[in-house]
Amino acid sequence: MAGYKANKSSLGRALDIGRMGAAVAGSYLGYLAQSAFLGTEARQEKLKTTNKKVGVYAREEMQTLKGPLMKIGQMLSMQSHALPEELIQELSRLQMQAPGMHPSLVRVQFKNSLGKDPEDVFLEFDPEPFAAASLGQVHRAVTYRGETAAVKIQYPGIRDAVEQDFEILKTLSLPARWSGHMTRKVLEELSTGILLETDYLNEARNIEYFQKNLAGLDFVRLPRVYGRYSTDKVLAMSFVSGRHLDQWLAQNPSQRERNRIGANLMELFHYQLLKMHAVHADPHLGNYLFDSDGTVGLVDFGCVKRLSPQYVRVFSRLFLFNESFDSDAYVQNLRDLYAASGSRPGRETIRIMREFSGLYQKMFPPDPAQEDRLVDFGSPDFLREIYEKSRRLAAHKGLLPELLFIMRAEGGLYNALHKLGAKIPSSRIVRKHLGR
Amino acid sequence: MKTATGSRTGKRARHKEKTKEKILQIALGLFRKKGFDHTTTKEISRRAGIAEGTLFNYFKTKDDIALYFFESETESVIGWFGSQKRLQDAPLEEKLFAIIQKQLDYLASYESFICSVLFRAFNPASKLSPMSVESQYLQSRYLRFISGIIEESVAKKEINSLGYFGPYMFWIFYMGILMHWAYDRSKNKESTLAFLDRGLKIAVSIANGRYSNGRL
Repeated sequence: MAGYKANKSSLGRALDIGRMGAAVAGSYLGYLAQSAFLGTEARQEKLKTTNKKVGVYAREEMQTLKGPLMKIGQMLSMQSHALPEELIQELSRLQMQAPGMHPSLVRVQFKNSLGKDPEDVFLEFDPEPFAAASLGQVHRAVTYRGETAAVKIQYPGIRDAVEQDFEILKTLSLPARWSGHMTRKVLEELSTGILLETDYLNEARNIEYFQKNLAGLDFVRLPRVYGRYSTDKVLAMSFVSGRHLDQWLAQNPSQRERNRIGANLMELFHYQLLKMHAVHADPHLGNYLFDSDGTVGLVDFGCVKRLSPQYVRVFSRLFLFNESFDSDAYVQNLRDLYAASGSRPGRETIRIMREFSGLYQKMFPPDPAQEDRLVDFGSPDFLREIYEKSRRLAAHKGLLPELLFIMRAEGGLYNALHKLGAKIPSSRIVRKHLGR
Repeated sequence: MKTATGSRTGKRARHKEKTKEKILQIALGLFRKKGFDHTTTKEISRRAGIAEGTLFNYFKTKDDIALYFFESETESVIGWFGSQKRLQDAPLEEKLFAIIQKQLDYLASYESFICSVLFRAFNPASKLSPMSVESQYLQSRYLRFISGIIEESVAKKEINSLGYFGPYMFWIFYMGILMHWAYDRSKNKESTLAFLDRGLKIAVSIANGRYSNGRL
């Protein structure tokens, strides 16, 4: 396991974080000092270089520190609209992974949480995990009713470490806040978000919410929470079967099966967005499990992004927009969207959104007569265009955080559709949930 | 064949052990209620229903009671480990974790007493000081136990030989964990658990040469 630095005392971590913070602060202070003497273009180039340098440095340091700082980096990449794109690109490569727990540690954590040993709660309990989770690991068990269960157990001390790290980050991020690259609000949102993920009871509530609200989609399989055996550090739920995408594709499914799965994924995403106003916020392919019957299993509900109904109502007007993007109606829709978040789109924002919407029209032909047209997500040129335009859009400072989030989540979806080589009637799927 | 004298000696020894155990439990109860420093031998003997002089036949000082407690703890954990079939085949890191965790479990009910005792151990004149003859006798039992486990791992080529100092390094590590645990206010002492786990990961990695330049 390359690059692992043990969790020394919190002093040790503080010294490491302090060093990283000082280095990052130094970079930005250096940029601020020089920028006064640079012309606009040179300043922008200098900023890009600084951002990239900081991004690479921060990612490497966070990886060696392991622990909750990686989660911060991961979430910074997903949620922050105030961070430069170069930084986000580096930080988004981070994948949080708590250290593995041997059976003796698993038993201690389990007993500390539930007051009993695993074999007193389950008929069978496998002391070896079958999957890793970002803050712990997952074990297979069998309940006394004979049901197969998945029991997620959190590594000890994560919550305290996150709280400590955020206290340190608040101080050390001052230079980045002065330069406008990070706001206190962003930090606080991140802190709340990550701390919520350390509470498995919050995840249990999310699962129950999705269970209730996704009941209309018969191809989705969700776990069922065993509330009696769940706490903030242990989450017991029914086992969701299936294979990860790469494993499923290795079985060489037919084009028909790929299309079916692709259509289901497309529908699942837009149903969450347009009907539920809540999106499974970690669209990591590892959280989807595929079966040969075309159903999709969803796991890991630690992070759920909720959107206001007002926002979604206005946003949905941009879907299958059948008029010209130069029209007043389009600009008004954008203004209404931004007004829902208490802001206003600038000219540049409108220009970029027009460009992106053009791409959307290719993916979701707005003409009802073409709604059954199959869009080929397997085309590499198509994916390249999506990536390029998304990148340009994401780099734009005027983009609403909700839009940025949706774009990132959609990126995960399109990536999956491309891997599947799916050809799907995307307009028909979306139109169903737009109620048009 | 047991002689009458032999069976009387055995019976006497068992009775002595029983009384010692009774005194210990009473003392621990008083330590928990009043604290180690504020409990007197007079009180202990009165509660045990014996004369103070009789108490001194078993334990000369409170420190001796504390040492007897730790001796019981050591024997208990050694006996427990011997009964754990799965652990015998576990990797070294897990074995050592489980041993320390078992010790901490044993000590959990006597936390305030342990804190007082740790503090006293810094007094060079106290029998609880690691340098005292009495403590070293107790340590040697524990160190032999740990040494056996480490040597087994060396024989299995899990780690490189640690020589004479291996068990001592583990004992020092355990003392550090104990200090951390005594002052750990996190829920379920999770901070100590994490420290213990990660500390052992590093220690075992150093011992098998996988750890260098701060990286595994």
